[in-house]
Amino acid sequence: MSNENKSHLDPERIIASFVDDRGLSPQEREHLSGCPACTAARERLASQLTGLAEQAGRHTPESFRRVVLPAEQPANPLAWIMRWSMGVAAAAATVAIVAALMLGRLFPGGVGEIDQLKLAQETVRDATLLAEVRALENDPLPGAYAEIIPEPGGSLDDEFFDFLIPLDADGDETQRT
Amino acid sequence: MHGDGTGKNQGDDAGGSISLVNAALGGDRPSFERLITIHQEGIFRMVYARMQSRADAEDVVQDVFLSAYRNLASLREPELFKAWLYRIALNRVRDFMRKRKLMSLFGFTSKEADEDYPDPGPDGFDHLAARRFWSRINDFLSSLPPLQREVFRLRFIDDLGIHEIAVALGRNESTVKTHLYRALDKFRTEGSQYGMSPQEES
Repeated sequence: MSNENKSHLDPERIIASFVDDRGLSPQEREHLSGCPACTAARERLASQLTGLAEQAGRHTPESFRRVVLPAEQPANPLAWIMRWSMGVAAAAATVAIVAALMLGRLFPGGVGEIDQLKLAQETVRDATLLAEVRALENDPLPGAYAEIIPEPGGSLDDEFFDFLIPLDADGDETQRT
Repeated sequence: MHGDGTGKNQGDDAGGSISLVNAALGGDRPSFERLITIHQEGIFRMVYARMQSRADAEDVVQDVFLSAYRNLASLREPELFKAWLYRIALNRVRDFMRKRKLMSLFGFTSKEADEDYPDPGPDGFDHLAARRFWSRINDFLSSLPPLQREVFRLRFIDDLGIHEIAVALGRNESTVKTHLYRALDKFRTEGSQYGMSPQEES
């Protein structure tokens, strides 16, 4: 750098100084600050680039639209109740969903399986009822009467008939008339 | 405007803006509305530079500030509000471009950029100059790889500092500098092909 011409910064170093002047060595920085030619070259580049931003600004149309923020919601004193009721509704819905899921797990077959179970229960109830009806057909009186009424189809013993129709000495039935 | 190119303007948010951001973080709506007033023009310009449609850019800007308002609590460093805003804007622009590409597949097209200048003036000079400028700058940017293009735009069209660009792009500063250097080198060597007359040598 003893020769002044050789010490001029080349274009790459001018660009480097423009990007980050801390990237230059102390000698280069010293030269740049004292050399009118290099300073002018740097200023030319700077003005061209500055011109870009200025032209971009000049050739950008004006924006007519104003940015609008969403309207502020007025404070609602009942808001916490609304939030609370919404919370309860959400919790109820969650419970319902969980219950439905659990039912689904208990009855992997789904609703059809539940219907079949109900049908089986009704069949059992019907069979029980029919059995009771048949029992009543055979023996319509309550059990207490069984002690004084002979069993249906049962045979009455001779002693009972003798009591009702006593026999004479010959063994013939007594004439009541 | 760009100073020495090292991002010294990253302190744009210092002072009043930071106190506004802090107030907005505390739930003060008027402070956020004041921040909108401060940054709307810059964000609109940034979005328009990428979309070239005023109506679409206005839609995106509305979306950017709405998103920022709703997600303000996620901003950790109030001094980086501007960079954070640009990050949101970049994401919104990307989303919009994806949608636009998808719509174009089905034959729906967006408004032409020409419609943004309904009154070009008696000789139409402004209209023509705007078309020529955007055409040249977009041709040059199209020649750059995506990350170099974005870094160049954010630095020289949107006027962000290195640190702000790093935050907006989610990259470290060294990466940003490397890409900026490459983009500038291309601007120096090939910019004239795009009518931008860069300096050739010192």
